[in-house]
Amino acid sequence: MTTIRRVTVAGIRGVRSPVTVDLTPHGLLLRGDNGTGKSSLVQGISLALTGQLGTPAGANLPPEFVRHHREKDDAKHVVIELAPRGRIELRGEKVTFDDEGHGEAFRDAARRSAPFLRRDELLRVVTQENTTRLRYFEGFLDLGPVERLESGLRERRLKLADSIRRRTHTIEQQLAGPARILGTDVSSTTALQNAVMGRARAAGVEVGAAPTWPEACAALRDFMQRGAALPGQREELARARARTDALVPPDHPAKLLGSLRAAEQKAAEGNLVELLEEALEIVKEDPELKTCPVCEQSVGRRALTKRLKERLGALQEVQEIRGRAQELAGEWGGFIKGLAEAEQAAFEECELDSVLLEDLAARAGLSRVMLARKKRVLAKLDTDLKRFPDQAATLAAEPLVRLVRAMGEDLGPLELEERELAREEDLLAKLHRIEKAVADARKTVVTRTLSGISGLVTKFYELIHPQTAGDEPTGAPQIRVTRHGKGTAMLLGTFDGAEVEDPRHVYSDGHLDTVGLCIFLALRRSRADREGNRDPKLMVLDDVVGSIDACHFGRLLEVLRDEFADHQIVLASHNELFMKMARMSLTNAKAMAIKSWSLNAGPRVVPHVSALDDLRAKLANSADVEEIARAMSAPLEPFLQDACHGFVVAVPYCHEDLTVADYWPPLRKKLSDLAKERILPRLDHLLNAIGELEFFRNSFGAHSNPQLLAGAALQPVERAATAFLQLVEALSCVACGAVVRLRNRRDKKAGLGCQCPNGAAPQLRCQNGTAQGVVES
Amino acid sequence: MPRKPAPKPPADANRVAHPVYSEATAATFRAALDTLAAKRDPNHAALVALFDDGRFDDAAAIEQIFTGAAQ
Repeated sequence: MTTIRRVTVAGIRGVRSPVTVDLTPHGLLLRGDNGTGKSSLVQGISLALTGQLGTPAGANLPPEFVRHHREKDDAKHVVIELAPRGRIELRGEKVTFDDEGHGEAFRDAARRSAPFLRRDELLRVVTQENTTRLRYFEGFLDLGPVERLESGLRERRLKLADSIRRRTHTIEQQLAGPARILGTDVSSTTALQNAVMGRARAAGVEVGAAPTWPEACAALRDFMQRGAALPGQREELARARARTDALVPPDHPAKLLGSLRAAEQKAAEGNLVELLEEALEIVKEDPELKTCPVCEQSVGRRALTKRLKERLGALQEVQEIRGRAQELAGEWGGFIKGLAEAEQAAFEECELDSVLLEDLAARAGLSRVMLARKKRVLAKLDTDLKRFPDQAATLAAEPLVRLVRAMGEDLGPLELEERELAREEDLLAKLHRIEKAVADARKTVVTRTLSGISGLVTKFYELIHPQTAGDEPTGAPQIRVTRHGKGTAMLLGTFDGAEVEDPRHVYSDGHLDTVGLCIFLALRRSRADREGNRDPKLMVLDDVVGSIDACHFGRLLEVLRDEFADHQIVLASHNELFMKMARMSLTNAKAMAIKSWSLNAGPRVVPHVSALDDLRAKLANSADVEEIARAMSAPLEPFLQDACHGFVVAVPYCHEDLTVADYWPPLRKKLSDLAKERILPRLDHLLNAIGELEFFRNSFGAHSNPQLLAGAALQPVERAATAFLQLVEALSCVACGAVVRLRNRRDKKAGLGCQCPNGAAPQLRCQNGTAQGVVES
Repeated sequence: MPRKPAPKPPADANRVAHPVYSEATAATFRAALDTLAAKRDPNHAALVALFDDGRFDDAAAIEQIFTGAAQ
């Protein structure tokens, strides 16, 4: 597994010149006083791995301050060397990696795993609104791609909705005119066509069953053209009627032909023609003839001439009738021909009136064939006449023609717009469906995951605040996730066995810090388990025990040791006791300390040696008086303060900071009393060897006095320092390293306690009442 | 004495980690795809292929599938 091997930071906040810190695979314990650059180093790592500094931008700051204390873009330089291989280098805003990609992979994994926790984030998770808290938790679940997808879908959905709005507006605008003409709502071209077709059919326009818009337009146009030609057509019909009437002969040719046939028969029966011709020849040749040459009857010339003239008159009549019949036949032939032409015209143009044809049939006595043809013509004419628009129909269709003129015969652009609209609406529905599916799935997964994480929070909290201690009314918190709306993550607490909706009401600041810490640890553990080898298993805790007492951060370190053994842990704190206990718990982590800080050089990082170890080293190396005295001054006051607290020593009130002179006399008396009561080992020889600590403090410590220093001998100082070290060891637990304390502040018989997991079994180097072992060792 | 049955492996013991997405992200996407499959979404197969390729977080690629532009 890839771990951080070395970090070099420069140009980040309080770090100006490059500062290099080595880490072991198990981590780094970085101790330093306030303002010495711990957080600057940690944030340098954060900046290189996540691109985030975690501090507000330095606006309106003096240039000098910016140059030395805060990041300048061109000065930022962080190098993270990885083990077994890999490198990440941040210079300014640019990040580069090793060629093999190990650094890039590690940075990507670290960025997604959210391994950093700062003190100011501890309470954030507690004080957030439930909805915001859920988002905060989700940030640890590495749902970046889900958020990216949701954001992308939302962006596209909004864009589509905007486009749909615009298209709908355009279509509505284009359909508004036709809707006004039709006097009804028209929402689409299909609705428009249906409405127009319905009106056209109602007006008598033949538009077919399912015509296209151009076909309907053509039918309407034709309809209106015929309607416009109606008066002219009627005049034309009247003229045609007159012409046809003129074609009809005055007499019926059949009657004339009958007379002709009777006259011819009459003439033929009497050989009239021949007789007349012969008689006329005889009469011409014989003027004295008394007998009729035809019938041989005796007749006078006058009578004969009269009879011949009558016969000739009959003959002339036959000839006239024949000529007339021939003339009538010619006229009727012309009539029949004209009638045929009229029929043809009626067939072709359907312009003849049925009345006219019936009249013609009645007058002309047309043949059966002609009558059949006439009936067909009449039927066709009837059909055409029904189809022919009357004025009312034309008026009804007129708005439709105006509508067509307004819309145009090409609805293509509008139909294209409608198709695009339909396509976009379909796409919008699909995107919305997948967006909803992802949102629901996210809620489900987050709820399930956070439920598991809630169990881990409870577990870690109970490890740090065990209920067996008896003085812990606050119980483990729980995370309850709801899926309503955007979802919420309620943080519930327990106090005296009852559920508390807002832990802030009953939890102390230390407890609330622990809650925030446990939530972070649970999220970290959960993600490390879920992601397996893909998780870098890195955890950086920057000053997270500020409000947590030694007893509880001792258990916190055990949680880190036992539950996060697979992690590389970076701890940064100013708390000497915390770091001392961390060294004992996280033995494989590298311990470093920031010894000093200067404006130009920044922090000076050295291997972390506890103050007691430093004093031991000075004694072992036979340092001079001043070095031993200064080394002793460092742990002196914290130890006295801790011991006074642990053994319930009443310290006089002082309006200023308490000093050694305030702590030591009452503590010395209390330790003697406890030894007499056999609660503590006998320590009189150590107390006497130390003597008056106030003298040492005034001579060599914070208030170093050169005159006193010059008069001091090395041997008494060494003896006092040795006795001090032995006193600390005698009062400290071998297992946890913490100074022992009275388990019960009011009941001395309750015995001693310490920071060990059970809190009640201190393992002293010397047995109760016998401190000789300590002295001899 | 009856032999104690072996403990059941966790439900996700055989789960194969997604090469691109984190476990929570992959679980979210899988659940969403299951929902779409239950609704007989015709694009389900293409969406699953997109997920396998690690491009399911690309809304543009999903839109291309829906519009039929994706290959």
